[in-house]
Amino acid sequence: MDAVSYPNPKVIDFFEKNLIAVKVLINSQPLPKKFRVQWTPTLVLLDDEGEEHNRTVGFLPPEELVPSLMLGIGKSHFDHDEFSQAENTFQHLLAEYPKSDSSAEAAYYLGVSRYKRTHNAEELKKTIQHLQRDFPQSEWAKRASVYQML
Amino acid sequence: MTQINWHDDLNSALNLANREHKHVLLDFHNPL
Repeated sequence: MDAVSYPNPKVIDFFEKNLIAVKVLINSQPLPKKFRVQWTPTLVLLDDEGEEHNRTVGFLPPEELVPSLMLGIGKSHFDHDEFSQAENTFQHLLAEYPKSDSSAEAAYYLGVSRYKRTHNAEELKKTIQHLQRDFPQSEWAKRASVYQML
Repeated sequence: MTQINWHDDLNSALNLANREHKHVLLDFHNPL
């Protein structure tokens, strides 16, 4: 991460605008034990109260790191009932990184955020249509497949 | 900014995140 992803200009710009970044040595304490981290690199995304909303394990190249972090920020908004902000984050991710490894999950959470905001079941039907069209082989298309029956 | 501004204290990072309406990223890494 230090050699490839963190020096990348897009990564630096994303961190500057969105994150306060903390380096933690795996053999230090108390944070590895508190967050139950056993392997590196592990990235844990927290809200400003210290609550975890997403984590990834293993190397991510720049074009996967940024959407992965965007996904975590969107999930943080979702978890806090901030559905409009969550939608904006997921839409931004899908527009900028339509083919990333995080995109299918973002499409799933985009639809669910819209449903939570509007309580309109049509949003869930649109979600499975979106996933079947753009991410038919993804686990998220499978997870949303039940919405076809609505 | 030409590099990421890394912090080493979670509590001060949380305070900063609160003030600047940002999230906190913990990067657990190995020194080797």
